[in-house]
Amino acid sequence: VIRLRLVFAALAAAAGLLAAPAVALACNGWSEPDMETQLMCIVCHERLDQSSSAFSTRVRHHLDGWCRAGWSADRVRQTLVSQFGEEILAAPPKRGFDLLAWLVPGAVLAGGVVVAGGLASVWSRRRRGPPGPRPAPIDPSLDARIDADLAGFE
Amino acid sequence: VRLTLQAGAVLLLAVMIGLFARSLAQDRTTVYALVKDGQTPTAPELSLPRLVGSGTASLSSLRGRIVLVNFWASWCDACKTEAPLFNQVLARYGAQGVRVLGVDTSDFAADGRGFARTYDQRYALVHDSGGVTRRWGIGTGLPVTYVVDRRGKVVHLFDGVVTGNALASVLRPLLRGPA
Repeated sequence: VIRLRLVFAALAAAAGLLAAPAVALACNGWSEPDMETQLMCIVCHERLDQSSSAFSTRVRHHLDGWCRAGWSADRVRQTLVSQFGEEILAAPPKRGFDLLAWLVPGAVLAGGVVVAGGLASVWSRRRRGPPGPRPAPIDPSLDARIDADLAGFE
Repeated sequence: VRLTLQAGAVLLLAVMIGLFARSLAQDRTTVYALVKDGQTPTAPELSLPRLVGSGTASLSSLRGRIVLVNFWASWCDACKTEAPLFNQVLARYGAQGVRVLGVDTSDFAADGRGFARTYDQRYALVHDSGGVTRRWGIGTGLPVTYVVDRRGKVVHLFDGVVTGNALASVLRPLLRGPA
């Protein structure tokens, strides 16, 4: 009986885990907590999920209604932008002049890598320095004497 | 190579300083900042769609009158106490050329219309999606009311709820002035 209970408990837990994403995305492919992270309180300039202002409370109320009405995430965002401008979005849209906000950090990072690489190359070349003088060739008579001495040791 | 890198770094720094200076300059040129600074700037044009009904309402059409430009929103509790006051102001001083222009801002237009019905706002109401409010400025929050004189100059700013006495003390000298 205990084993059977354990099996049922495990099945119930698995069903709960499977159902969780469905609950979270109950709003036609989006969830209210996730949408709140994508929006700003335009009055207090905090992210909506971190704001308790009257404005944020009002937006949450509307999100709840739109979720129940089955609105898509795009429709929600477009409606909010048409009411409040792009200021309402936590991240700038990936088009027009705002695209720069996405491209510039990458470009700066790439530029930084190029600068660091260039500087590393310049410094390593300076440390290595010019090649030293080649050793002078050994005198053949000295070479023969060394060979003879070494043969004496064997 | 080194010279190119140095030139690029200097250019990047100059661009960043330029953008920062531009943002500072924009912040300081709002009507709110200028009036707080003791200046009486010319009121920027304000032409927005009416909140109730169709068409637009503009500040320029009220030139020659004393205009109270009141920025409000339906979610703003303090704005609820102001609505009846502005109705009274209009009833009392309207014949002397005082007008009220309510700008519903940072708000859903439908919520604003509901508020207008509930609080029986009898003055001109417009809805702003953000552009006009950014140009005028609302400081730390709503409500904010600007007083524009007959010459179109912003002569006073109420940062927060307006009371009858405070409003009367600002309006009286303006009403005594040249019409």
